[in-house]
Amino acid sequence: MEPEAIWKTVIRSLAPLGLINIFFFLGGCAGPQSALDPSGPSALAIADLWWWMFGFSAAILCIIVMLWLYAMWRKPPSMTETEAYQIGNRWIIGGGLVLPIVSLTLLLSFGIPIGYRLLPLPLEDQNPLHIEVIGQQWWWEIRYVDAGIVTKNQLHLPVGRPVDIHVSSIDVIHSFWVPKLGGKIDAIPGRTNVLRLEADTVGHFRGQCAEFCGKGHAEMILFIEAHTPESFVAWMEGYKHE
Amino acid sequence: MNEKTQKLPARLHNDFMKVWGNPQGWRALTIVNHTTIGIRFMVTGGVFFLIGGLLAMLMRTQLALPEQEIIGPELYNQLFTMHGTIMMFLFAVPMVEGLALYLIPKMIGARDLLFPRLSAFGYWCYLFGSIILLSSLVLGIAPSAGWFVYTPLSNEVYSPGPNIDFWLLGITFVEISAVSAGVELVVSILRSRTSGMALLHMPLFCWYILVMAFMIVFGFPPLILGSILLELERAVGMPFFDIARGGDPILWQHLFWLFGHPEVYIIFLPAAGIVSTLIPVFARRPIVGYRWVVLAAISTGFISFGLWVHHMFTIGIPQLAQAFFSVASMLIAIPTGIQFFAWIATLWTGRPVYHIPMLWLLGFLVIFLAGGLTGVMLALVPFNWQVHDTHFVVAHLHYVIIGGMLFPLIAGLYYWLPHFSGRMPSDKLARWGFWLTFIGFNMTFLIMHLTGLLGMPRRIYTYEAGLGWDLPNAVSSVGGFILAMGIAMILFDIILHFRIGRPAGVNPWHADTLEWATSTPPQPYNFISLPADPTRHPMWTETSLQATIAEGRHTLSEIDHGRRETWGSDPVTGKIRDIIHLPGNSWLPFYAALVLSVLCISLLIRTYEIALIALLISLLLLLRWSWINGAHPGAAPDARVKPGYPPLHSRTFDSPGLWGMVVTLFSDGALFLSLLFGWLYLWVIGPNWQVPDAAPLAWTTLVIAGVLLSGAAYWYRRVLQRLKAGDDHYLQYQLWGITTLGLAHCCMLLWIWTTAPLMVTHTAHDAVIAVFLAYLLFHGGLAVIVTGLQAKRVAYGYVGKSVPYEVAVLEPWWLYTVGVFWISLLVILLLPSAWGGM
Amino acid sequence: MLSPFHPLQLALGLVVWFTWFALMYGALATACAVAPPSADQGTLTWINVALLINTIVITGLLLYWASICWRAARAGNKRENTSYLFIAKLGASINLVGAVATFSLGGVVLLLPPCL
Repeated sequence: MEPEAIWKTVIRSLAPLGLINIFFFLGGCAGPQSALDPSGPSALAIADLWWWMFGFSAAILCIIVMLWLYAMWRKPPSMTETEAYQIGNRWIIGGGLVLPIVSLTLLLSFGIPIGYRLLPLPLEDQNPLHIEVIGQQWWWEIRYVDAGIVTKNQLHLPVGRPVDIHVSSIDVIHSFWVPKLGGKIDAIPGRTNVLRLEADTVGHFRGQCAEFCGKGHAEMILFIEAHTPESFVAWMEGYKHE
Repeated sequence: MNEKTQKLPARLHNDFMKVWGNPQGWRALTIVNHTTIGIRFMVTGGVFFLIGGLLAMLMRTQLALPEQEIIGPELYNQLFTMHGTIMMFLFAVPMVEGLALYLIPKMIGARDLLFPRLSAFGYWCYLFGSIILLSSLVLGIAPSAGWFVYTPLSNEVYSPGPNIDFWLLGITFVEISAVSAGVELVVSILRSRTSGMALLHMPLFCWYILVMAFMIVFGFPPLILGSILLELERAVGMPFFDIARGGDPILWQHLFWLFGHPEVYIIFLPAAGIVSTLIPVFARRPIVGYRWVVLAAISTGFISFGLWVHHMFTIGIPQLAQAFFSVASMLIAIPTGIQFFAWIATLWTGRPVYHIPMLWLLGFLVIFLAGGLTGVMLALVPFNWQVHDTHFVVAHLHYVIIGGMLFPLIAGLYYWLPHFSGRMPSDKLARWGFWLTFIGFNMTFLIMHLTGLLGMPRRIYTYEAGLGWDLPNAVSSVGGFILAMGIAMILFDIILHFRIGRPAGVNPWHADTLEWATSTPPQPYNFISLPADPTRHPMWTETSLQATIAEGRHTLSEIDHGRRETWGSDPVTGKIRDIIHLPGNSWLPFYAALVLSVLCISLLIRTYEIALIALLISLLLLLRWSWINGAHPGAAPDARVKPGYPPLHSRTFDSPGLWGMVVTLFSDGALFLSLLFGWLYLWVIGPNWQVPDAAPLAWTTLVIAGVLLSGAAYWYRRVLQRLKAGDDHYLQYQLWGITTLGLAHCCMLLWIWTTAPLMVTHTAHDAVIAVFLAYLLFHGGLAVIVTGLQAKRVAYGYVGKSVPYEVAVLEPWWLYTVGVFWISLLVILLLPSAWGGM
Repeated sequence: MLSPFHPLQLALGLVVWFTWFALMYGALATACAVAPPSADQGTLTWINVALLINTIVITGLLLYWASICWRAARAGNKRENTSYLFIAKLGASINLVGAVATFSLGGVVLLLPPCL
């Protein structure tokens, strides 16, 4: 299904949830820190996953609520206890066993491969760019190890090249998160976690510490700029000369 | 009907009140009756709910518009920490426990819970712990590291000052109350059901509470251990969670969520129990698929212990391990689905009638189902990486907790209001309350999913304009205030109904369960006579039950002996085994809790001399409490019963006390396993784990200490076996001998500890060993003290051949102590050598 | 073997499941700490194989217990008390739930490499 088609399904199934929300969803999901406005393959895969799950869940919610209302409203024919028992068993096995098992199998068969693809697996054709990010109260230290560049709260990336972000912390636990590029990973003292990201559009994005880290948590913001490969090289050169 | 039988109920009532009646005035603090304690729990929980809600309103005010300066980050951090803590620990758990304490004995046809003094003790611990915790908010030094207090943020370096200590000590104190209620509910449900109420006849609510109580018993100890360790790290400097000295902050997360996830189901299951109770009543037919629902409740209880890592998907554990927890998290949707469709099938095949509680159940359906669906989404690892720790999660958790707990609870509240007060609520006000709450809730939290997807992390006190978060936050704040109005309306309705509600009469909803066979409001003794109950729907099969019970036409209606009595029955078949006699009102629970709160405060302000004195006094009070048992003049000195009746429980070997001991040891065992887990975890995963070159403890002396302990336990077992065979020769002297042997063990252990080269503040390795030693010493020491007391009691004649039950109660403690000793020895001494040069 | 009418049947299957799960999680962590296989081996590592065998054994055991309980409940005439039949039936389903939970969790080792 095309994204537009998904959109339509989504909007249709939203109808019972109230006018105000339709307004918001139509109003758009754009934003410098929006997970629904992806600028990289990883965030895109997750956003797609979300829309599918959302449509499916909304449908299930509606069906079950309708069923409940109908069951309340209907006047059942008189039935023996055995008949009632059989009807009940059918409901429980159909709705309580088959429905969730089928849905969950479906979900996992999409979800697990997506999760696998997001891992920092060894690449065949290219080397990911190695960047170290050190969280501290309450800012981000960004180290380009190969180039010997260190910045504060500024993350520059080339478009189209995978980047391995090696995340750690020197004080408390933080969490590195750039929603437009992909999921988050915690910055934990004593450990280094690796997050594979890639940007596919040029632009400015915003990231923010996601794990509560004390007084300055709300101000621990990261500014990201995705460059074309050429301008990324130029930025590096320019930075070194400063 | 002649004149005599008409007079009978009033006379019986007066006679029963002489034994069961509650005192007035100051002496009301001594009340141990479950009805009173249950109501106290619920009212106190309700007050905390309002306080927690108030904090939420403050937060919503601050977040209503971007870049507001009404509340600064320090205060905001305290607000959300306290909001979460209050709602989870001081409202949700005590509230469902209170409801269970109130209802369970009535539903199973008993007169009280089996450990009434423990109910009272639990309540006072809860009240005092909560007051200590809340005082920090008033003093402006409330905990501010989030309700899951992740370390290192919560350690002495990054959170100096007493803020976090309030949390750790206050919550641990409150948890004592939760665990004691858990133990009490398990044993009461299993051992005090009325004659003939087999497991398969038990009301579904009791099944749910049984599962919940077991979950509390196993689920709370990991957090209790974690809190003790963190407090030790903060106060003494033992580095359990400090990377540099071989600890690991992730261990805290494991311990917290090992508790934290079951916790969610601990509050959901009773609510599902309410739903399963109400739906058949309003559908006018028995539940469809009783066995399915029981299966679902049990499965949910177990599976919820296998999900904890899904709160930790972003800490960087291997994908395969994440997938295990992802699948386990989704599995829980299956038992939930079974319950939903059992409810739908019941409505489908029944003839539903429409009352206010059903409206709240509809609200529950919509909201909880939505929350469950987002829960399944969150269980999917890649999606979790994106929305974890955002407002999406905040929205999800409010959908499951408010939808899954608060809505059914309010349904239950309206349903049992006539039971509490004898009056019916107003239909019109109740509807207003529902719709305001429902609309306000969805307005606040539905949009909040989007806020999170747009990138807003949780726990930020403010945000920039122009990120797309402005409008959704404003909507949420407006919705929050509508929600608050709804809650106020419900409160108003409930308060009003006590004055103007019309009288409810007998069994106003035509319910099927025994709690409606009491008078409304109930008397402290619940039932004048205890009916046999060989069906699932006693009130449907025997509509005149309330009258015949009050007339004393059923069993155990004798009261001239002056004892509080209820049936003790077989856990499976419900056949009567013994008469359980219950202790009456007492100051001891109140005083013990009071002294424990002094202990808590003195630990908080780090005056350890006072703490030690308080500890000793509380120990004395608890021992005094245990003294008034068995053949003690304050308990049951006279064992005569009506011919044909079974013996008093204190004259048997299989008393509820034994069951209580075993269930307590389950909880203790869960704590020990958590400690064992911590030790192994640090060995395997801890990044800087350091092992000293030489083993810190000496093999030989430890083994000798172990042999002494095992000898004592073996001797104790022999004594009990002989007693069971009717032989109590030299009972007192043998018990003294066992005490001496145990004392020698303890002295040796103490000597090993004090002479060992343990550097508890230098390495996590030595710190954990010290905790092991303290744990063993505590168990050995307590075994010695209580066995010595048994010897004294034999001398006084309170324990002996005819009153043997206490000796049997203590046996599991001895065996457990021996077990944990050898296991500890194995892992402390053998693991290093097995691990070799790692 | 525990009698199919014993009340502990209401917990046994899922206790086994939980114990198995905790041990498997622990064993995986230990194996990855001690002898991590190289990343390009994919899912065909000794760890995956060991976990899979383990899963199959435990699933089989739980299914076997479930069938014992179920048959005991069907035969039923040895004990007349319906309370015990109820326990055997419920115990069969608890053991079955344990088997399903074990298999669905353990099956994941077919899909993912162990230590990444």
